Amino acid sequence: MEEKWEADRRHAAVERWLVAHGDALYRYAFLQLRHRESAEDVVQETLLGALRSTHPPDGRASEKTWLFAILKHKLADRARACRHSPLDQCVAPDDKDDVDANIEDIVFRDNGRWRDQAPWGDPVRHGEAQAFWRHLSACLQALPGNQGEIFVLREVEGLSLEDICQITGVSTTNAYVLLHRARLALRRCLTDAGFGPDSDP
Amino acid sequence: MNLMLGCRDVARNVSRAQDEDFRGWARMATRLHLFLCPPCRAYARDIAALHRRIGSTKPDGLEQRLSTDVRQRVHDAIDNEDGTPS
Repeated sequence: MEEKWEADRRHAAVERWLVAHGDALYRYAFLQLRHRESAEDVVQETLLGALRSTHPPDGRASEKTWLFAILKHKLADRARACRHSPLDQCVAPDDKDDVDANIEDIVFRDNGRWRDQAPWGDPVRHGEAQAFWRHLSACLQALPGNQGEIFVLREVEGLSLEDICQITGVSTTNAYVLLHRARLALRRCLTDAGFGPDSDP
Repeated sequence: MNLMLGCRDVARNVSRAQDEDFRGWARMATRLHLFLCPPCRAYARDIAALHRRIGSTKPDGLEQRLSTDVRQRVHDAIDNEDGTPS
C-alpha cells in the first residue's frame, strides 16, 4: 500500500514538472546538444535524477532553477562520457569557438561609434511566431561559448541573474558581459536575416 | 563621473538595464547619450523590441517543445525502477 502511494507520488511529481518545466528544460538541452533525441534523453534523465535527489529545492531555489541545475549536471556528464566514447552516434555539446572577441569590434568602429547597420525600420512582415523562433534559434546556435545558453535562461525562460549564475557557474559580472554580447550579436544576426523583432504579423 | 559616454559604453548600459534596476549617474549619462545619438537610440529600441517579442510569443516549432513520447517514457522508467506498472 505504502509502495503504491510512493509510486503515485513520484508519477504526480514528474507530471507536474513535465507540465510546468518540460518544454523549458528541453529547449535548453536542445540548444546545447542540437539533437532532438539526445535532448529528450537528457531531459528524461534529469527528471528521474530529480526524483532520486536527496536535495529537493528549498526556499533559496525555485523548482525551475533546481531542475535546470540538475539538467546542467546531466549535460556535463554526457559531455564527459562523449569525450571518452568512440561511438559516432554520441552527440556532444558543440565545442564552439570561444573567441567571440569580438562582436563589439565587429559592430563598433575603433573610435567607439557604431558601424553602419541597416535599421530594422518598419516591421518586416515575416509572419508567424514559428518563423521568428526559427530565425532566433538559428541565431542563438551561432553564438559563441555559453552566450546562447545564458541568453535563453534570461530572456526566454525569464530566470533571474542570480539563478542563472547559480545554474551556469558564471559570475554576475561575466553574465552581464555575456548577455550584452549576445544581444549585440543577435540583433546583427536577425537583421542579416531580414527579420526584426517587431515583425509581428 | 563621465557624462559623455561613448556608444560602446552606452550599448553595455542599455543591455544591463534589461537585467537590473539601473540607477545613478551612469543611467543619467546613458539617457543623455541616447537623447543625442540616433544609432544608440535605435539599438535601445531594438533590444527592447526583441525582449517584448520573445515575451509575447510562445516558443513554437518542433525544436522548441518536448514531444509527448517523452512523458510516457519517463513514467515507464519510474515503473521500471519501482517494479510497479502504473
